[in-house]
Amino acid sequence: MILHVLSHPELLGLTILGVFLGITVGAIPGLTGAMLISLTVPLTFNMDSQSALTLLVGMYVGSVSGGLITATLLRMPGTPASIITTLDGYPMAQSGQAGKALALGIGASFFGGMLSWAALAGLAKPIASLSTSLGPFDYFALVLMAFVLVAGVSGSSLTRGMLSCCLGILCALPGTAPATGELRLTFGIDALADGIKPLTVLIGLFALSRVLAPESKVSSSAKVDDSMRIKWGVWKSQLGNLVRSSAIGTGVGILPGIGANIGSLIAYSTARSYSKIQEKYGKGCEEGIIASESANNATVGGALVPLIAIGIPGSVIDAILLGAFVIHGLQPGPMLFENDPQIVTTIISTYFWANIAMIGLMLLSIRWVARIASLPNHYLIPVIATFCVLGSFGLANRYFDVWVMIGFGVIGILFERWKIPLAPFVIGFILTPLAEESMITGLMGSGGSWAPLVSRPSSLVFLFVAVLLSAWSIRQQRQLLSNPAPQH
Amino acid sequence: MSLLLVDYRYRLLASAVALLTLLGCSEATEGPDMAYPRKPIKVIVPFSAGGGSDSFVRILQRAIREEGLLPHPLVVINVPGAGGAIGSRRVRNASPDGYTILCLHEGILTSKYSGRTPYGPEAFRAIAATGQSSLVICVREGSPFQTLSDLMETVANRPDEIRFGMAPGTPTQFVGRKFESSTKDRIIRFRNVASGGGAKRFNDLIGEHIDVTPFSLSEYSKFQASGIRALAFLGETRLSEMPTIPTAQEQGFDVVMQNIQYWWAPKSTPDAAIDRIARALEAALKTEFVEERFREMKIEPIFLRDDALQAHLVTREQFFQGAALVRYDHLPNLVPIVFFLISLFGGLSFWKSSTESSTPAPARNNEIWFRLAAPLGVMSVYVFVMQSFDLSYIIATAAFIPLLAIAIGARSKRDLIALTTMGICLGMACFVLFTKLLVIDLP
Repeated sequence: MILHVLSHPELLGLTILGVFLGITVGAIPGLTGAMLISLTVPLTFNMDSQSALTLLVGMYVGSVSGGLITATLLRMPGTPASIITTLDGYPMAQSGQAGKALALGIGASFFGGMLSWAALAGLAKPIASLSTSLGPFDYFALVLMAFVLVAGVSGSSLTRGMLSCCLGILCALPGTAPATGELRLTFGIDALADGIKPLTVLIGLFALSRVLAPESKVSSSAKVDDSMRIKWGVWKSQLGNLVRSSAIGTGVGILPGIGANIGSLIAYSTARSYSKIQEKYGKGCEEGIIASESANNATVGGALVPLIAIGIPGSVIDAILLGAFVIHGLQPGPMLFENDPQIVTTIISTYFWANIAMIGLMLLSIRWVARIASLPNHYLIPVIATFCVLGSFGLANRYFDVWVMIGFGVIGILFERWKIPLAPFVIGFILTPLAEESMITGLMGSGGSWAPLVSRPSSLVFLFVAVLLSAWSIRQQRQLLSNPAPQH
Repeated sequence: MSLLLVDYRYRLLASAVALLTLLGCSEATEGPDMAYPRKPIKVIVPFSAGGGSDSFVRILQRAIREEGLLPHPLVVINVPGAGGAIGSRRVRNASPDGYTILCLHEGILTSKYSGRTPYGPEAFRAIAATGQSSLVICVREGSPFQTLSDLMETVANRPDEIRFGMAPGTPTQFVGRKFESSTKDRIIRFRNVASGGGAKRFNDLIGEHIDVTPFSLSEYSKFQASGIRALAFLGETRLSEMPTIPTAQEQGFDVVMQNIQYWWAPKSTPDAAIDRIARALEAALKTEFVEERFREMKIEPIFLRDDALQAHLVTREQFFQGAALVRYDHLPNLVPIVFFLISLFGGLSFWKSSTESSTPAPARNNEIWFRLAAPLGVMSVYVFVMQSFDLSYIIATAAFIPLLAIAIGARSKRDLIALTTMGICLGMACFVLFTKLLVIDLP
């Protein structure tokens, strides 16, 4: 399974290319992995599905890793996944230990990636065969759980999370109603008969809105002066931290809808609460970098598990990958293992080699990438905007999609202004068709009765977890309100 | 100082660019009428690349290109969505010059009779019917139903209990209705379950969430080994490659559900064009390459045109007309529920943020919109001119890149020269890449 990519030189080449592009884009503040991947999907139309997914998974791994470079050197997280890394990476770099900080981050990323690879390779198949027994009501409950989960943890407020999620659901409704085949919410616009295409929304929200409303850039010299060699003893003493943080990252990744930034936050606060040197956290602590970076990379492998095993995206980027699967005529989920076992093997193998490519490329190119990150905005933005237009047009050869994409670019900026988190919107939007179809299949099969939702054990479990999670996140917020946590 | 106030020199540059684009617009005037076709014919495939219909058209496209059956190749353009309605609408509104045609199967009828589109075959000129593939009725391996009669007997005795999996608005839904009315003396009733596409229905069949469902032949041969059993073939005669599967008619139920790929042109397309395309398709069907690929894909190579085709379409319309679809009233309507939730959470968030009183300074608020307006405007103009005036993509992009850079604050002359060069290169590179390699329909 591991060797699959090695035996196909073109796949190996695509992995390396993907990781490289991912690192570069991930390192540039304002450009995210979600942007790179959503813009690349339309370019893969003509590739075969294996090559396309190899390239995209490589980008995913690279983009989560690349953010650490600018997070450490400039205190500007290249991607949201590396926000926590700035806490300790930047102070360390300021004290002349940039090389050490980066090396720790890269090593930890690699470790986290490998541990979650093991989880991916070991868990995907069993979870997939378990999920064949899931019926329509179970899927419906699972999606409800994902909604509550992502709404509860991705923003500062549960109500805004829920609002965002419901808006996402609303955007998924126009078009042909799955039950009756009739049109709904199209307002007489013929082009809306097919609804709003996921990729136009994702390109708008993650690519266009990012480049149209860029955060002001600080031009500062990013230099790495010291050696990047880390003593073996350091890794040995950090083994517990590495394993714990990677395991947390993998677990958070597997949970539907939430990804790298939340994984690294939880791992970081756990590491701090277990640490003997709590007072050093936030001032350039090695443990902090390791916890954050191993966890954020571990979420990648974790998040791929529910995507390929059940067809439920484990993170926002996986939601885009889901779109890529569909474009290539693949249906992720238990059937994927039956119909296209090759694809499963390719993904798992790519993920392994992407991690190896990541550590190699990061060590080789770090100084160079740091310089790219200070490229002026007015070179980057027009190019990205061109690809936004091209990518959304290419989906179905129509301008309507381009206007929708521009519209969602504006919506993305509004959400940012109103502090409404984006992740619940995306997950709500992407998973609503699955939820609605499952609900319809379930209700038609049961003759209109909702009883199976609580009488089937698996759906009962999912509902129970959803209730538990919402209670937990309400409690968390009460605590936050009563004693505000230190700013990070 | 506002960012919108552009230095006059750049205005000059901008007008120069605009002039250039105008020149690019007025291409060489049309020459004298030569024999049709004078340029490649666009075939709209209303499904995504890689699907059944797409591969079908691409097989014929390749045969026509390799055998030189038309002086110009067919160009396949995928316009997927809404069960084919998005693509068919585009061809219906296209100019009837013979250079935009549609390939759409039985879906053109099912979307009319399930209410998805207000039009059906009558909105087009039918060019030809090529290739058919019929459905197979399947149950689980361990199902108690051994024959179609077993199944129908049970359905008759226990109405609204046997779950029939289908995808709404497609032939699979009509098949169920047809079976319900195929027993002469009594009306029987399945419990119809909207399960979804082939892979989804297979999963639900295996997972015992539905009891019986139709599959296309290619789906059937893919899933055959993984626990499903065929009860009946819905063709007129048994298929030579699967001689053990009896037809429904043999078993006493008059249900035939062929899926034929039809070729359509806009309503007033001239006869010469229709005839030319039909001849090319007929010749393509006879090539060895097509015959071989059709065997692999389990497609029967039939060919109909002119009167035979019209007669066939009339019988098909009658077939679908007879099968009124049932409405399902016990399904909740999501739209009001979602609107209620949005107003609930929206109100809550608004109330919370107004009590927290952490509103940002209003001055900054306005500045952000101001900074946004310029790039958004440039972008909208860029898309608009390509959409409405069919402005060449390369020219539009070459102008767009420096203009957007100006809109976001690039001012130095060096930057603008570099950006214009970059725009031209990027425009050309993307144009070549996307039109030649990815077959995307750029102006």
